Amino acid sequence: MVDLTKIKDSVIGGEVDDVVEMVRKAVDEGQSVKRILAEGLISGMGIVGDKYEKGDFFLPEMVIAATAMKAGLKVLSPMLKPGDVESAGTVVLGTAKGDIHDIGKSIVGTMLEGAGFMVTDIGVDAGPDKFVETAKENNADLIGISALLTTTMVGMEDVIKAVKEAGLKARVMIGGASVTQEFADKVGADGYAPDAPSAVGKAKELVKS
Amino acid sequence: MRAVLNFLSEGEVEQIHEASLRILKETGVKVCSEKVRGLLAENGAEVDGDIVKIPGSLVEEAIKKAPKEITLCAREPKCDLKIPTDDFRFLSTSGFSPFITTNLETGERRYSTSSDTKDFAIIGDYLDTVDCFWPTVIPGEVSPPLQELHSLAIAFENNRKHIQCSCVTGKTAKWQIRLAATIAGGEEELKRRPIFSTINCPVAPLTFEKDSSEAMVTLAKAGIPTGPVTAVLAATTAPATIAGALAMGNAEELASLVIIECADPDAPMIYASEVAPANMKTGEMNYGGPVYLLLSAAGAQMARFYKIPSLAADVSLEAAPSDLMSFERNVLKAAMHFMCKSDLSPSLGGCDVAMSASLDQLILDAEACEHARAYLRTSELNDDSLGFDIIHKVGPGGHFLGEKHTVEHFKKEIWSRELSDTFILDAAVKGSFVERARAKVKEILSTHLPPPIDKEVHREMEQVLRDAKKDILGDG
Ligand code: B12
Repeated sequence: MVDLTKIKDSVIGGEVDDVVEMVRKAVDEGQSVKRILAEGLISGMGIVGDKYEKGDFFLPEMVIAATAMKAGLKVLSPMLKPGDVESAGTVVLGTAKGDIHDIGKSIVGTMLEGAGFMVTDIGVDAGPDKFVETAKENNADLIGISALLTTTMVGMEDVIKAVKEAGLKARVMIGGASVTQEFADKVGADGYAPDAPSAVGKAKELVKS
Repeated sequence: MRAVLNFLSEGEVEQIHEASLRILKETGVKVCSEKVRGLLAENGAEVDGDIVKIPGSLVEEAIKKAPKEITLCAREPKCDLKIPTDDFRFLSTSGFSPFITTNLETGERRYSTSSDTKDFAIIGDYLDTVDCFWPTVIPGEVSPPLQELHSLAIAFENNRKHIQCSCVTGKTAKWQIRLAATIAGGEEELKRRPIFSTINCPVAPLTFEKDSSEAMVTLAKAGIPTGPVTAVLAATTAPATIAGALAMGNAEELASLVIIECADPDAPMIYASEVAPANMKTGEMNYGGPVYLLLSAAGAQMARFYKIPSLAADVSLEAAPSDLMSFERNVLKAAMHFMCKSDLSPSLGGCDVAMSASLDQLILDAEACEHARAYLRTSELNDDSLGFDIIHKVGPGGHFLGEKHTVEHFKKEIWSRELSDTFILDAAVKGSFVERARAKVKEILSTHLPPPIDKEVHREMEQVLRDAKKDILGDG
């Protein structure tokens, strides 16, 4: 029998192939899908988050662990029943139209995943339609928009309007180095956060309310 | 005798070059503009979808064509900058920040406006330390697609030096050229005397945006020097290894050169290396540490290898000195950057990793740079300076204090000003560094008036801005 703590350790170590192999094996052995997820994948990512906060882990270690977790999750997903995944929420994340600054958004995505959110990253240079469509497809609870340029952050307002017009339930959270709370209020965003750790807190708050 | 900081050996410079050629040939770059892909294909690059693989021969040819000397001209010809320079490098302000820090002590900041852009231009005009002006903060109240054009206009009106500006679309390039042509006396004359140059970033890793690459082509054809700043961050947008980040950054720079030289074989390019480590906790660019310094030294070496004028070793001090000790830290940091032998270094006045800028910080950075110049002093080496005669005369056991040789040479050779002396700050004004800088800012803004642009030219500039607005925003 595959020891679920080994899956957890491989998530922490970012061993993508090992995670996939062990998850497959555990499924074949008939172990509970829900337990593989909770005790293997999610608890591994939880420890990674703690280690990052304590200063033992750095961004690359965090990102590779998230990749390993997602790879494991992909194996499980066809077998998951609604309710099996106690996800913190579903998020669609992207960088605003005309803007190609990628890193900040990706870090926010990883940290959200680390905190148990299901994140779909739609990449950079994304317009309102892309946000709205992907949010619909994934029945998203939250839309996250990143912009680093003063020329592109104004486009965030168009996304917010489009989300409202489409009547989506998703709340909109915005960020990126040129965005401020004041700007977020002005364009009618539901939330703003200055960095990735606070983005996680904000996301939890928005999804709950 | 002058201090130069090298990071790579001669052999290593060649290895980086070879690695970059291999990246360009085997991996290639993504070029999002069909026009630019077409241009590269015509010149022998291999295009597959939006990936362009560039053969070594095309790169070598571009290196050969690239002008080895560029004059960055200025509204006022006495401010022209000839690069490369064997003398001290030229310094510019930081650029294009969306915020202005209004209180250095508390870090309080707000979105910037045209009037802030103007204040920076005036202070940049006043300070001798600033050789080249980057519109330091953006005119935030102006409609976003017009901000780059308006920054350039505000800079021209309030600063007599060479202006280096951001330009990310072909349309902006067209209108920036027209605007500058009103001052230069036509587009032909502007080509001869480019009074502005631009910064166009390739997108790390190895991508050229549609609009920005088309702007590069338009600018190249007009003879406007461009600096493709490769803001390559090791471990996020480039390998975490120093060698890998350098090879990739250099590949982006060479790909930019190929685009520019294919657009116009006489087009001037500034090798603008900004390979930096990422902060491994936050992902931010880390200008602060020793790795950035070493990467800067290497970037400048690559430019010298190609004999292309360079912009490197960004002097981002980004720290307001609280006392003499912290001021000294800034001076040393600036000095180390000056030892990376590049021709231009930006970022005086920047705060918050280039997100903001402060007028007080600009004064303090200029002050630190003036002190740091001393580390880049030259010293002669000849029979007289080697001192054979005087050493022989004094001989073992004597001393040199009262010798004529000593009296003649000590001031030039070994004496330097104290850190507590001032170059820019007013010696008579008391208070903290920040308070003294604030007083200086106030004084400059209330007394210094850069000579205005000719009235007729000013009217033409206004007309260009109106036409550009119609063209860029449409009639609505
Ligand atoms: C690296 C960089 C680039 C790289 C980007 C590479 C890539 N693949 O991502 C390259 C070289 C391509 C680039 C290009 C340009 N850049 Co740039 N770039 C930067 C730089 C130095 C760092 C950005 C970064 O990676 N930060 C690290 C990450 C981790 O931080 P972050 O993005 O802020 O994200 C954090 C928070 O903001 C927050 N967050 C981010 N997103 C979100 C989303 C949500 C929902 C939430 C809640 C939170 C959140 O959490 C993140 C983690 O803590 C910044 C300066 C700066 N200090 O930001 C300039 C900067 C943003 N760039 C600038 C400019 C001008 C440009 C160019 C126009 C330059 C040019 N002339 O060509 C082009 C524009 C290209 C385009 N169309 O977008 C300006 C913007 C100025 C302005 N007025 O808007 C800046 C400020 C630098 C400057 N002063 O000139 N750039």
